[in-house]
Amino acid sequence: MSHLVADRLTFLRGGRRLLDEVSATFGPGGMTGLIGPNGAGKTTLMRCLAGLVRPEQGQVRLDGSALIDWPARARARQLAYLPQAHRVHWRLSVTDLVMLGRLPHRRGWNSPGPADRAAVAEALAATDCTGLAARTVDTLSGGERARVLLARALAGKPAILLADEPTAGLDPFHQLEVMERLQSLARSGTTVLVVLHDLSAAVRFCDRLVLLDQGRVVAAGDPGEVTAARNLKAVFRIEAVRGQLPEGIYLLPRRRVLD
Amino acid sequence: MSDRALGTGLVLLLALLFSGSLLLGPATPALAFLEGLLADPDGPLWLILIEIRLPRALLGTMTGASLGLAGAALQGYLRNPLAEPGIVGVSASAAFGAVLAFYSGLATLLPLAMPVSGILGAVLGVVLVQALAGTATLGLILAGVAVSSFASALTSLALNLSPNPFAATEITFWLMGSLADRSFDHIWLALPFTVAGWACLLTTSHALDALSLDEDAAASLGFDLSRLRLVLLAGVALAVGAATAVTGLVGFVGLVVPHLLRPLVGHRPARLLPLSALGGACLMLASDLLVRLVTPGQELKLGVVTALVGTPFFFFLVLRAARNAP
Repeated sequence: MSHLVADRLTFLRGGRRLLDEVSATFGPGGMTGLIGPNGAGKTTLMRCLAGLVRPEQGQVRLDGSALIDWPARARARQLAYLPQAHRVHWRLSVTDLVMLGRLPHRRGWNSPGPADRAAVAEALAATDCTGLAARTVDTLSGGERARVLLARALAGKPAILLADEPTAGLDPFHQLEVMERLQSLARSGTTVLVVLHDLSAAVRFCDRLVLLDQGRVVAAGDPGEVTAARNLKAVFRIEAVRGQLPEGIYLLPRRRVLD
Repeated sequence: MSDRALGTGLVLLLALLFSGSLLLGPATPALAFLEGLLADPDGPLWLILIEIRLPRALLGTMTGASLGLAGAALQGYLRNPLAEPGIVGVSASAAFGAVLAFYSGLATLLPLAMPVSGILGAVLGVVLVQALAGTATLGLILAGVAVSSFASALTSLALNLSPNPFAATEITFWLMGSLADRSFDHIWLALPFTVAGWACLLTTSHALDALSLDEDAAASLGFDLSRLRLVLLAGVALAVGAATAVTGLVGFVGLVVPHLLRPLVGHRPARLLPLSALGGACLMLASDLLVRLVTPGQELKLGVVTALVGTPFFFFLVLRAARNAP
């Protein structure tokens, strides 16, 4: 059971405070959504949490020890990071692409072993990509691509998954599909942290939300409370319609608030 | 095609070309040469075989493998199928280093001064590129172009100021690249650098695979990208620097070979590395055979042939890239 802790992270870039004393704890058994307007520092926080950049102050701790003290490969076996929709640079087959997720587990020049192949098959099945295995990446649709990239992140069987806008650019069907998969992953014990712009999806699928604005945590906790009208107004400058469905709350942005 | 089949095919082709390189020559047909060898175990033909053709074939194999391997590694690292060793400034700075040894007269005093200063030039060039380039991949390409231009300008300056026309001609011919008149001394000199370069490049294979994804994703898979760049550039400087220092400028092998083999290995950068080394050796030996057999009288320079064959290929790649651009 892995815990990821952000402890008073401050990150500066070009004199701007992209993160300002951000503290948060992410634990297993639930999905945490990271929300906030453009430029709030969501991606920067994800990159700090993934160990890709070092904050000027504060530290990230993984299972109690500072993330920078973790050997890179050991960290990579614990923690998978799915960047915002990114390019795949060569015309790899789907299987080969998903197999990249096994790299932290492989030693030397060995070819992938039975454990690697089993993990890839499992990741493909979990993301409904088994049928795509023999296709090459350039022939996939946007939705298929997003699922395959998710499968790549899952192939390493990480204890923690950080996903940066995994539903960006997807049609509603595939948005729901990806969110449901992340949710079931979280239910089965993986610590899932996901950056979302879709407030409705955030409220409905996440067990907990962290609201960032100008590098600071404005609110954190129960999705209903974090997306309270005053927060939406102060941070997103919108008003929203809120309703209740059998599946949970929904939230529909209604109008901009121009003070 | 499976990797094993492709690898075996390339090894067989290499063996064939290597034998051809030993047996085929302008003077006698291959069979007659072979008969002559068998008939007289102490004859002059053995001298030709051991002292002239064997070092030439070995050097061709070695430098071709270096160029193919470095090309595949750079294309993987830059995620650009148009990359080749010249692009990071290695070839031009190695050439300048060698020319400097020639120009200063050091090369006449000490024959091995030329390759040694060629390798030093390559290493210096890469150090400069590394210092100029920021963290971005584009920065590396721009720094490579800048260092390349600077090294070429210095080479031209050396030609311009050369003490006599004979020296200038000599330098120009050397720059065209050739495997002719090389001895085992050249091989022993280049070998340690070459092997060290290969070792560096081959260790990058998993990281290059990871870079098929974005840099952030590759880093999150546990790869230190700054270290990767250092090892990769060191590998390219050692392998290509040593190759250029002993053969002169032989372009396009590092561009063409990875390109031809890539679709056959499912586009995976790691699998491409060893096979491109084999393919590079094959292309180098084949080009050298062509040079020797087509114009036996006035032997064409190897670098001229690879450029003549390689440039149209490059045009084709540019056209295709332009057509596929969004």
